[in-house]
Amino acid sequence: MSSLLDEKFNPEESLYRGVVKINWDYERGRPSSATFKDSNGISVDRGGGRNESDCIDFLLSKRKWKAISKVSVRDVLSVNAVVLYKPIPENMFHSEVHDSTTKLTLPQSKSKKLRDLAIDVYVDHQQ
Amino acid sequence: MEMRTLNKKIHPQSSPSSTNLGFLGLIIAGCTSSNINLGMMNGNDELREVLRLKPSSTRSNKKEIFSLNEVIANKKTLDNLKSLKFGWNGYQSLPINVSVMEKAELLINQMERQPKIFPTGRGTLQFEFSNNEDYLEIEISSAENSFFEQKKENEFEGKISTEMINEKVNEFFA
Repeated sequence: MSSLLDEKFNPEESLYRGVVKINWDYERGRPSSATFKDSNGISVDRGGGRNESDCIDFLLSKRKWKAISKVSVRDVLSVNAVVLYKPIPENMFHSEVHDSTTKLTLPQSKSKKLRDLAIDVYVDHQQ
Repeated sequence: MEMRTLNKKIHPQSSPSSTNLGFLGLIIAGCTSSNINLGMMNGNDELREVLRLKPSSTRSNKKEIFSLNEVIANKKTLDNLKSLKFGWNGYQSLPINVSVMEKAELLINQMERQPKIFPTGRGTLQFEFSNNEDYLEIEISSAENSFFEQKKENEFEGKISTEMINEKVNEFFA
């Protein structure tokens, strides 16, 4: 699949991650840092020049998320992680956050810091 | 026995002894989200002994920490997490490993402080604790466990054996 977006990221570009109900901390009203832990790197949708409501609607078209959180590319770099553009056939915005260019999984400290930097741009209060 | 009794937080000056806690763990271990049957416990003298909230000198100075209600809620959470399938978080997430589940069940039966439990996409479970602004998370995996702790301005991260987890949590709240 040919990349339709620039491989390089603007530091201000937003990265969106869907949050499922069981990863939502109801007591604190925010996702657990477990949201930012994955064995294959953390899948996110890059903004890719869209406005935020389009990004949210695109994610919601795939699944009924409890919430959608966003971090900026600058946030990712600030915790010494990296973001890579990894488009897939069904999602040209798909990208992944890795610990480094050679290691996929983030250590706990980086996951926690990303959670702290994340902004919840959508929360389903019915769930 | 009335349900109201189980909802009550056990006061430190009247918390159950470790022997009784172990027994309680066995009872709770037999409960699932669907078969918690308080009626079955009726008539059990030893359980009644536990719930009579006998004083324990070893915990006399601690705040309210042990809640049977929280243990049962965490048992229910673990039961629910057992059914997670590949891709449960909408991405490429792994189901929670069986050995991780077993380890987690044993731990919550032993822990005085009950964690908030969250699954991760890498097939592990995360136990979270907070104490004002301080934060502790322990990631339970089949091979090894790890922790991340934020206390005031300091951060600590490392591996931890299963046997040391309860002590680590108590130390965090000390």
